[in-house]
Amino acid sequence: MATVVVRDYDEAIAWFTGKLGFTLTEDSDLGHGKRWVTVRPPRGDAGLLLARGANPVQQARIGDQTGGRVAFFLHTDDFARDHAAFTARGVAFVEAPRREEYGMVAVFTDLYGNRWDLVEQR
Amino acid sequence: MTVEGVRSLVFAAVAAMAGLGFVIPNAIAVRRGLAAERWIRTRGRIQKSSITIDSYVQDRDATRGPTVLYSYEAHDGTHQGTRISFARAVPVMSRWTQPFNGLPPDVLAGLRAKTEVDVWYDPEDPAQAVLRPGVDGAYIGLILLGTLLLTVSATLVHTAYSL
Repeated sequence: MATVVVRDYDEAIAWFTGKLGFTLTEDSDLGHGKRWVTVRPPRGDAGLLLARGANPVQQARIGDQTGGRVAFFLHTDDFARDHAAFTARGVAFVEAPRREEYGMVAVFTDLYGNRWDLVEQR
Repeated sequence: MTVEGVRSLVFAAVAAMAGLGFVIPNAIAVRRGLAAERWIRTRGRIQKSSITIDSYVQDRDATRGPTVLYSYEAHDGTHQGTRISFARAVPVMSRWTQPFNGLPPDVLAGLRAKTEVDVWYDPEDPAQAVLRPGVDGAYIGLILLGTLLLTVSATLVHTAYSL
C-alpha cells in the first residue's frame, strides 16, 4: 500500500475511479473529518491510501510528493488500450509514449500533479 | 421396483434437494424483506464500507457484496447495523458487470463513509435493521425455480412407483 496525499477525499476518489478506472475498496470514517480511503487498480494487488493533508506541511506536499520526479508506476498488460482509455477520459500525459529497453512507457500526472509512469514491461 | 424406477427415485431426490435449496433460503429472505418494509424508517449514517476483491474471473476483478457498518437512531437509542438487504440484489464486481475497456462499477456508491442513509429498524427489536427493505423479482424467480424442481421431483416419484 502506498499513500497519495490528497486535498479532498471525494474529489480524489472521483478522479482515481473515473479517470484511471480504479476501484474504491474501503471508505471508513475515522472521526474528526478523517477517513480511511483505499483504491485499487483493476487486476492489481497493490492499493493506494488516499490520505487528506491535515496540516500545512502535509498540504504543501500535495501533488509534489517526490520533488518532481515520477512517484508512482502503474503497470499494464496492454499499454495501447490503457493509454487510449486514459487519454479519452482526460488524463494529462506530459509526453508521447516512448519505447525503452524495459518496455513502453508514458508519464502522466494525477489531479494534483504527481507524476506517474504508465508502463508495459517487455 | 424396476431399474428405471430406482433411477427415477435418484433423480427425484436430487431434484428435491435442489428445489429445497432454492425455495427455503429465498422464501425466508423474501418473508423478511417484505416484513422489513413495515419497519420504522429512520436516518442513519455510514461509518464504514468496504469490498474485498478476492478473485479474478476471466481477467476481471470479482467481489462479493460490500460490507458496511452504519449507525442509526431508534426509539430506544443509537444502534449499529451491518445488513444491507434481505432480498434485494447488492452490487458486485463480476465478469458481467465489469467491461474490459470501461470503468468498473462503483460497488460502494451510496455507501461511502459519512453518507446519510435511510434505515428501517424492527420496532420490536431495534437492533435489527436494514438499508434496503423489500424484494427483488430475482428472489421470486428463484423460489419459482425451486418449486418447479419440487414438482419435477414429485412427478418422478410418482413415475417410479408406477413402473
